[in-house]
Amino acid sequence: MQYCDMSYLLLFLPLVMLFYSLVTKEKRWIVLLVSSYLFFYLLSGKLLVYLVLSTFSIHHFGLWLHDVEQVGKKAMEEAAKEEKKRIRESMNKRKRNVLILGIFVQIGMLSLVKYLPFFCFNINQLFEFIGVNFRIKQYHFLAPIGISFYTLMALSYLIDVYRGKCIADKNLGRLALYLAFFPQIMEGPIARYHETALKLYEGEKLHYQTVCFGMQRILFGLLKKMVIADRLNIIVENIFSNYATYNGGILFLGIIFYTIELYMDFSGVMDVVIGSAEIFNIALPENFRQPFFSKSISDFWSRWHITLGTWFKEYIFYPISLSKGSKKMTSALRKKMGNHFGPLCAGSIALLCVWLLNGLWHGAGYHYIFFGIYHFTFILLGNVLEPLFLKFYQITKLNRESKSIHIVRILKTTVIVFFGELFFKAPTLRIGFIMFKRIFATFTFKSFTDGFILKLGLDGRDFIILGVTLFLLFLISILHEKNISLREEISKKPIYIRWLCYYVLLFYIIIFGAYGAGYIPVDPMYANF
Amino acid sequence: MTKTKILVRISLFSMILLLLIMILSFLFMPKNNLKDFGMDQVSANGILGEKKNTIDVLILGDSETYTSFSPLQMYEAHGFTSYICGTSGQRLYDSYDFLEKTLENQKPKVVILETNAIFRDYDLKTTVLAKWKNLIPLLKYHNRWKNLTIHDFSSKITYTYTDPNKGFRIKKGIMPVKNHDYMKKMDKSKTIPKLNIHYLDKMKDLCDELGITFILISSKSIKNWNDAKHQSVSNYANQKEIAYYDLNLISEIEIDWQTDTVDKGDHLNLDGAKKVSKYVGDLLKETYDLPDHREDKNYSSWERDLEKYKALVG
Repeated sequence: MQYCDMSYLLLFLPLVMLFYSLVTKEKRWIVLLVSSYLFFYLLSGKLLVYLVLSTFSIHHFGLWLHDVEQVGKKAMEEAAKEEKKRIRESMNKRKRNVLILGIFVQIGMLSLVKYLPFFCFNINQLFEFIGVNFRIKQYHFLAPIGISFYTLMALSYLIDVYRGKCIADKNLGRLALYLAFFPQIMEGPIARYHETALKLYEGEKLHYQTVCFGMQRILFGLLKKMVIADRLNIIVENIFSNYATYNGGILFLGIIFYTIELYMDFSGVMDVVIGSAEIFNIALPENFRQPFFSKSISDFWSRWHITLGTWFKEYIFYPISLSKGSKKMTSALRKKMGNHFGPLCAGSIALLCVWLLNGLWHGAGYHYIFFGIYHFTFILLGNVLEPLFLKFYQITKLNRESKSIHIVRILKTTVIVFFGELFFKAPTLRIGFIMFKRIFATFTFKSFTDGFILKLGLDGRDFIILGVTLFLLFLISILHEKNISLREEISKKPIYIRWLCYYVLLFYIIIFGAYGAGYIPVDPMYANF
Repeated sequence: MTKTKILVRISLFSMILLLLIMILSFLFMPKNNLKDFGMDQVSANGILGEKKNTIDVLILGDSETYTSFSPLQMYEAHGFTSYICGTSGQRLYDSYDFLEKTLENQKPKVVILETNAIFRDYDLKTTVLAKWKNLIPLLKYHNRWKNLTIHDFSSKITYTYTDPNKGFRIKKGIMPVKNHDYMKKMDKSKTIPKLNIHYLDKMKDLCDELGITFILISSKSIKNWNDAKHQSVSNYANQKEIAYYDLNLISEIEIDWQTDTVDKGDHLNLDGAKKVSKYVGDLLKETYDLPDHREDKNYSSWERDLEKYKALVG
């Protein structure tokens, strides 16, 4: 069962809504928890045990952190003034150790199912390289769906408890629901404890308005996923599977289409996810904000997979860049390199860690690591060259905030993103480089003019639907960029106009959706990460 | 907003939605069973274009059917008509749908289910989805937006296409496989999935209701068939008093897996199909008292198709 399946939309979700409405307010969270575990079980079967273990683990470590703090505070209250500092230090050290142990359990489970084969493979390669005959046996464990997402949520809870940003939850059920809530278990968004846990447990009744809004959002997501992403999948798979037979023009088209497919798939599923949660009056954090209007790569990452970026910023970037060592390095480099490059150098180390981990989070493969480094490089370049750009605009007297400059910067960013996605999609780093080289070495527009493009799996009518739908979504994105919510605008219109909009959208998806005979069902792309 | 108002709104919205689905379903339904009209599985659906009540034997099942039984060879030898509603990877809910669909226009005396599909497992979700698509043709034929013509707005549905080979596919290639005793006795039988038992029962009940003989035949396949499957089908057939013929145990049909298979024992080629069709034709004629239409002018199209078929198979 996937979020865009009829079984989810017409059976699972309505049944959860029905049971949710039938029980009393106090028991609604139980309906959500049971349905979330059922959903997870239907996807991953017995691997549900990993999720349960994670839940028990963070519950236990959260309370342990709380206990250490309480004991410490009590001791401090009773202690003499000079003793307090020593007790505080001892308490903080114990808390840190508990946190490290808690993190170790979470990362351990994730590594076991996701990174162990990659790790063993690399060790064996190393042994082979240095001429050692010994080989580590490679174990492959099945990974439960969404483990990368809920592990980050589990870690954020533990760290927030450690930092005192949230209180350790004694209620195991509430914590379990926070981690397992069915709309977000497969692909996120990666919500923090304080963002959803209490609201989920509250069990607010279904409201006509939020149910309507939720359903509209789901429809909007289905439009992106079923009309565009699933249709583009045919041509993308063809080009990437047969990359050696196509010229650079077609390969470049392939990476453009893949980027659009990935965005439409991921953001479309996010709309379904956020819409599903909205039905229960739960506001999940947004994951996308018009990423293709980004003027730089760092801007892009503040608009694309926002919750992942926020997680890395909060739990990796800041702890490293604000650590004692980093601060020391910053002040030392500031003296030598000045106010711009000094802090930049120290900050870049934290940034490098973020992007290495970001790449690895997406998967155990060198092409993912390269993907992380690729984006790190462009963000770093942007930071390093910033003074030069400022000077350039000063000298040329060009207005950096003018529309034409914006368009140029957006185009530049988009092209960088396209090539990044090439390495992301390529099965290996080597193939990624071969494709990259082929794009430039064999580039030609010939295939676009001789009708070859229509032999890649989509016909002219498919391209018309793609063009029309993308254009409509582009217009909607412009409105959203201007902070105009189309949904709210429509909700102000008379009922017959609203209903007309809903019917048109619904039948547009049913008729032009890429499903059934001739199309391959496409699983949500980010569910594998 | 009051609860009553909400209920009225939901009801009205749903009613309009249902009406629109019905209108669009009609619009998107293929108005003919030709491929150009958007019909899928045209060979199997070719039965819709056969003249009313002219088919004596209906054959259902997966690819084993259209590579094993030649209706025109059986017609030539015995004069009864048969048609194969076989599709690749057919599931039993598809078989049941073909049966229902065929019975709207035909009154066969015998319905044969080739047994390979009985062990094809699937979940309830797949079945429900298939049912939904049959219930709402718009979901099944939505992609016909590419080929809609003014003809689709008219109310007439006419099926004109019929497969000249009556669902049989001529495969002349050879990909040999070593002959071996693939039917050696096994200790355990293979379990038939519950959903398939359900559809087997439904097919049997429907046939009984209309006075049609429902039989099971396992075609020759060194790759797909074995004693474990034979045992469970045999047990089921005994229990339900259904005639069951396992051709894999009939030594009279001398299949040589070095020459009679198109894909290493998965399916038979034309030579293999000829041997099987000869045996099955004789069996059906002798056991089920099927009519001989060879002198009947109403069946002249079968004579024409037979001539073409003979030219093709040589």
